[in-house]
Amino acid sequence: MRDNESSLVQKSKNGDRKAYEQLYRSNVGKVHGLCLRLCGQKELAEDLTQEAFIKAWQKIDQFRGDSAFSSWLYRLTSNVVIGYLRQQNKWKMDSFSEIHEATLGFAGLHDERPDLEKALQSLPEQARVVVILHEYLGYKHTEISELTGMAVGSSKSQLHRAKALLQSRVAA
Amino acid sequence: MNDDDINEVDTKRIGGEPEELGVKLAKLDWDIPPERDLWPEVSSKIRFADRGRSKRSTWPPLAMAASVVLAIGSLVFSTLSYQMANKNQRQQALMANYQQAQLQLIEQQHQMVRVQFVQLLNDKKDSLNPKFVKEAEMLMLTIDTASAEIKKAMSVQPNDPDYASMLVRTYQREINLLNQVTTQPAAKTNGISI
Repeated sequence: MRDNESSLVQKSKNGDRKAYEQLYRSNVGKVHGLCLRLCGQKELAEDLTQEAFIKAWQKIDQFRGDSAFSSWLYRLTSNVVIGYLRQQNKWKMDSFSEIHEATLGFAGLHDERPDLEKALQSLPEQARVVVILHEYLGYKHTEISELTGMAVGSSKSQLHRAKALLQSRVAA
Repeated sequence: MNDDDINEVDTKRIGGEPEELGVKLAKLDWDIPPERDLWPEVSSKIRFADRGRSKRSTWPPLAMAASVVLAIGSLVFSTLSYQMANKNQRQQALMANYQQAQLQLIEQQHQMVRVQFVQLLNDKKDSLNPKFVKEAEMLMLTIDTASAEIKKAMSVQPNDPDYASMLVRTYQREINLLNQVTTQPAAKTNGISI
């Protein structure tokens, strides 16, 4: 599988769009899932998914093969999504409002979502992003700080409170 | 963190290991395919998307190639303009055919330049001076209007090489504009002089 992937990556580096389509097909679900969970809006998630794959095509020469292509792609995707969210000035909202229910566009997901899914989507955007980056993608707080522009301390406190909220909401 | 650093990935955490929340998150279904197939749009966009490594080398050759075609076209049409006046009807018809073929080639080159130019302008929009972008868009509009007028005149007098020369000069302005966008540093691209 990994061999096949590296061969597809190599062909893509050489400009083979057919090979890149195969990489797209095998990763689009997870890239879109990540975009959807990070931004919370169905149509925006589709646009950002496209953007991520275009950017990956442009930067595939920089992929050194130290990790799986998919891991590199998810990192690039989160950069794309967060870059977009920051551009939209959504990151000025620094307070952690418990009233805020980020129910944005999740009609696209099936209704019988696990509790954790609902709880995750009910988090404020910044907190949700920090949780996903730190807990799912394994970013360090310093990396989150660089990527999002928030202070390391803010990243830590967002995570701390997000975890507390998630636990209380999942348990309830 | 910029895109160059994304090779530094800590894959141990993906798929969930140390923290409970991380494990639970990893167990969620992250494979959520989009409702529509996005590949056709991605495919058409990457067709003209330049890659970081070749960013500097992709555009100038294109502009240069188009410039060469336009320069040759310009020479051909001015020569034709002189010769047509001195040739008989049959020779004039042959030259007119040659002119049409040249025009077709120029038109193809222009279409390629235009598609890629629009793409480039979109890509660089955020880093370019907004005044420059506005001027560039206005100029493209002017070029479109001018070339439409010239083509209208050409449809009435298809064998007049002077119109072809005018069209070539109009397209040449677009190539000059493209060169400015590609060769100048974004921050210094303040105004257009073509």
